[in-house]
Amino acid sequence: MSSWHPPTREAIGDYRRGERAVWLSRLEEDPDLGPGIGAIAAVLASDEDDAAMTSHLGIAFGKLFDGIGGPYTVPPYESAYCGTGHLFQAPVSEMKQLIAESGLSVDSGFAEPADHLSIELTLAAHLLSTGGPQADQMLWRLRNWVPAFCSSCIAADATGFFAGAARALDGLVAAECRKLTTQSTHHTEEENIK
Amino acid sequence: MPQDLASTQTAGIQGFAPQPTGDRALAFAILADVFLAPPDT
Repeated sequence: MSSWHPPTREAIGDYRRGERAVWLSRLEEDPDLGPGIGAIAAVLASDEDDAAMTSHLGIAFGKLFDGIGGPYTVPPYESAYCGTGHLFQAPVSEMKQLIAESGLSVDSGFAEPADHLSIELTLAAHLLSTGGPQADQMLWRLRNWVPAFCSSCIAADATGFFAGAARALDGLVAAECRKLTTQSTHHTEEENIK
Repeated sequence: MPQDLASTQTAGIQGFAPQPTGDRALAFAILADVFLAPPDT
């Protein structure tokens, strides 16, 4: 059984009226995230009730990420975008090691491999929030494959919801890596002055 | 303004204490949540 689920009715309600709605509104103010988050907000603002939207997005989710879409499926695993494109490759063990080095572990009840998009994003959130030295490594890791995932997702998603999330994610990762490059350049310049 | 992410999903990672100090960490956590919505309970 897959652990990757489409948004539930409760989640959709929360994205529209609850805490998640507040978070989305906050992130929409960020210029790197605004266009993508705005696209999500536009979908959520439609006239569909929560049940209809849950069904609508659930079908899209299945087509995009669960393989129902056949050749149009967008695999949410790093391994799919590296090397041969086969799943369960080196990124899985590398992510397990990164997670362990961060003092965390993958829940034994979680059926997805450790190079699943949401696991990598969750670890990035953790490392950024705790200021861990591996945050930079995690961001560059995402930069290596997330743009390709986002590009495919934007092209394949007809709802606008997941495409909006992909657009926001692409902008976020690009902006964070630009920041790292700028910091590195400044550091080198300071070293040269010394 | 949300101060933490206590109610978001943690993508099956044990030991993750979601308390981002900045909006960028918040953004990563929320996007992880969007792509991994909680299962029906």
